Amino acid sequence: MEEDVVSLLQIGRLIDVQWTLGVAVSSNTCKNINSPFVAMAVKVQDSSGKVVSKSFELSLMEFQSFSRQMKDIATVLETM
Amino acid sequence: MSVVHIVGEGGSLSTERTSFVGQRIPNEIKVLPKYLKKIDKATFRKILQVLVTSFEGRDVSEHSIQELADVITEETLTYTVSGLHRLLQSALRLPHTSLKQQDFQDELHELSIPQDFIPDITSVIFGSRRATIDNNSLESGPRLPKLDEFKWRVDVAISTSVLNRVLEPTLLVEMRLSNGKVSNFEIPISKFHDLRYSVAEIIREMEHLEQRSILQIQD
Repeated sequence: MEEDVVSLLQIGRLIDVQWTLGVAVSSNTCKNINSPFVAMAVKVQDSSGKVVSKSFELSLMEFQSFSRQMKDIATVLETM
Repeated sequence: MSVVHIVGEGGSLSTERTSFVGQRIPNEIKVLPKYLKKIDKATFRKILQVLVTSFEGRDVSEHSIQELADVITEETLTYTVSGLHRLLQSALRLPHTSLKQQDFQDELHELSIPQDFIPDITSVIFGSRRATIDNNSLESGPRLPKLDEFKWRVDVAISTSVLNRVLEPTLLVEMRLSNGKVSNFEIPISKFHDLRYSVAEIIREMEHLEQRSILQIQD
């Protein structure tokens, strides 16, 4: 049943999420950065069955916004 | 210059050496004198101008070709352009330190190029535009993509989904190549040391070569 819904909507499935919390220390343009970031690697299986990995980086602000949205989703799910 | 003993057909080459056109005279150059006799100096200069423009990597206007086609037959135009192109290309291939101006002029004479045209041809090979031509040949030759931009950042991972308190530095690199490719990747510290060692080795090797002056090709 679940499989049918997935193939019907042409949506991928989330296989795995990995994350790293790190601090950027120094770069070729800036000697002292010292700003935290969250790097995430997401593995998604698309409707054709192919597994695609995507990695991206979020600044602290971006991550806070992302986490707030996740919390909102969780709250909605709880009230159902 | 090569020391192979080859005497020209007439045996009149005073210094015995291989010609700049190679050991066997290419057909385009062999038939060139016959067609050069059919054109006047002004037309010849225009053809030479077109060829130099193309060797410099600039676009040749259709107009300049049409202008030539109006004064000489298509056959003459085809043979003079391809012959001169081959002749100039053979001479331009050699570094200007290994082809002497006097030898070159003697050889043009050997090849039965009309005396009137020799100074103009010589000025293309030994003149002020040679540097531009050489530059263009270098750039238009087969080359691998070049590194256009190299950006890096050092990160310290504090915690990950699988390990808490990692505290290990990693290097994040972005490379932009001249073919438009962009690669982003992470280098762990151990691999970075490998890379550093390799670069140091290359630098040492390059200094070594420079000391032995192999890079300075001379006659």
